[in-house]
Amino acid sequence: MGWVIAEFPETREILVDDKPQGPNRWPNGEYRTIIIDDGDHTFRLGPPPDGTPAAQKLVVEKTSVLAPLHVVFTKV
Amino acid sequence: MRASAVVAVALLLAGCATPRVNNKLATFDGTSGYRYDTLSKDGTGDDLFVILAFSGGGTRAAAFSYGVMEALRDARHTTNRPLLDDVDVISSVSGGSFTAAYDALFRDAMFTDQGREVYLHEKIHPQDQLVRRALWPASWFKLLSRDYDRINLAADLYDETIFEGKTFAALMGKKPYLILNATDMSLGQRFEFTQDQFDLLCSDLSSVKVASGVAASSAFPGLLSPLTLESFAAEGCSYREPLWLTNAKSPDNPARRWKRGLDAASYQDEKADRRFIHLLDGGLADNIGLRGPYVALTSNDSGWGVIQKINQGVISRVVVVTANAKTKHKTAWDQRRDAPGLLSVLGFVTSGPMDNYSFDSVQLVTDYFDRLRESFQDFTACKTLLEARCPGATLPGLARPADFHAIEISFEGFRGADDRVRRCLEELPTTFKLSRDQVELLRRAAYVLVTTSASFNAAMKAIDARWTPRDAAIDPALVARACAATTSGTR
Repeated sequence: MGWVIAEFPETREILVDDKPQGPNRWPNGEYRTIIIDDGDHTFRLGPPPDGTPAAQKLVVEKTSVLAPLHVVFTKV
Repeated sequence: MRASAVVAVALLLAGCATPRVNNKLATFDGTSGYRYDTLSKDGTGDDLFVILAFSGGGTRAAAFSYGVMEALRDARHTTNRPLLDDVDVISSVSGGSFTAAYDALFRDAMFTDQGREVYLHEKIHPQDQLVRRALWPASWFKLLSRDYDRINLAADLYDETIFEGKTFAALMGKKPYLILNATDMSLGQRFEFTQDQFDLLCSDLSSVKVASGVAASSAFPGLLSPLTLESFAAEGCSYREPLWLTNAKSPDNPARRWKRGLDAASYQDEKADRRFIHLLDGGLADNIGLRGPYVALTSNDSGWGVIQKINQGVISRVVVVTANAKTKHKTAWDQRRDAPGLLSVLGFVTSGPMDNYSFDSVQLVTDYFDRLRESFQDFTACKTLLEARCPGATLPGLARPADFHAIEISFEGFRGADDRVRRCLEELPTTFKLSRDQVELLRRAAYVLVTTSASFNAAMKAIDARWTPRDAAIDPALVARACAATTSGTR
């Protein structure tokens, strides 16, 4: 069981292995922590395509609900 | 002269091509075919996700799982809605697959008085018909063909007498999503009759008879032969490997996910040369039908990932009901010095490991739900403490927490004063024929077990705060009649 936050300055859909997981932020702007199984996954953001990198392949491991993996995207 | 003519006709019939069980998929399209995402969302509440898992056990399992469904039909909540209408997925094995498939095809008819009588007392007792078919001379000629074996005879019988010639195309567009589980003999792992699985064979599930899936799921080793599917992967269908599978094959993964990835990839691997897939009873890999749901509950890899729906905020409550018709036959081995004979050993080998694995499957789901609940509780506790001690500080918000309920319905639910009922049920054989009273006892036992289950009532209370548990009991006269022939009945 792994926990992940996708950081990006704006609200975007999070895609894990091309499957949508909902937005990366709550309506109040707070980041959302999502649940993903441990292992190798590819993270992308949904449109508009103004984030970089376009995709990140990372291993989710040794996370907890209070210490999630932060997958960071920056605005182009 | 006449004998020569008979032999000639026999050879001709034997040489006739038997229709294929499965056909090639023209072009891969990951968005069409019999998959969860192509089913209508109408009818079931998205907020509540209900999974049923039906174990193997021949007619015993078929009747028991029927009783579970009856109890869910009568469990009405909120707007007088039956919980049965909220079932999103049914995953089944062997005997349980008869009820799962019949429900997916004919639910409305299944629960009328006449429909129930026909289903419970005719359709789930194919044993005598199977034997008669095997003894028909016409069957001998067919069985001479290399493409036709005992399992095909069984599939044809089920197709004609139970499933009315329906293919998986008949299931398209409506819930519940049916997952019939067989066992891939080469991998020793589950093989699902879903388009997600058939994509790996470049095969079209929609043209496959539902009876073939049920036959494969219940192909008990030795009694029935394996069902053989053709793989068209070598011919190609423009298959595009999904990204989850590409990532799952990496050795950086936990062992379980890595193995799952390698197993799935083997169907498309040219070097593996898997042109034919031989399937046996699903109970050999998972006799409780819960491993597929476990993957969907814990992994993003599944074609109907529950995690994904929780992350999306679509689901806020998950209920898993397992109908486990496992038996526990009394043995006298431990009272004798002589070692058990060959038949006893074979019986143990086929059932002992299955039961252990089933126990682990239930425990895996329960433990996972416990860990999720603890995580959500830890988060809430820390957030409260932080906000009290450090005004203005905040923790990143969780995806909306969900509520989880795992309910196992098994004969072990009868205890104390009902111990005789438990022992009687546990001694029922694994066959495709039981007496009327035995079937009615199984049906009623399941109904009572669900209705009086503490975990079931806790789930219903969580769904509807006004829920009130109901009483249910079994008529002692039914118990006496059904159990008269068992050792527990003679005590």
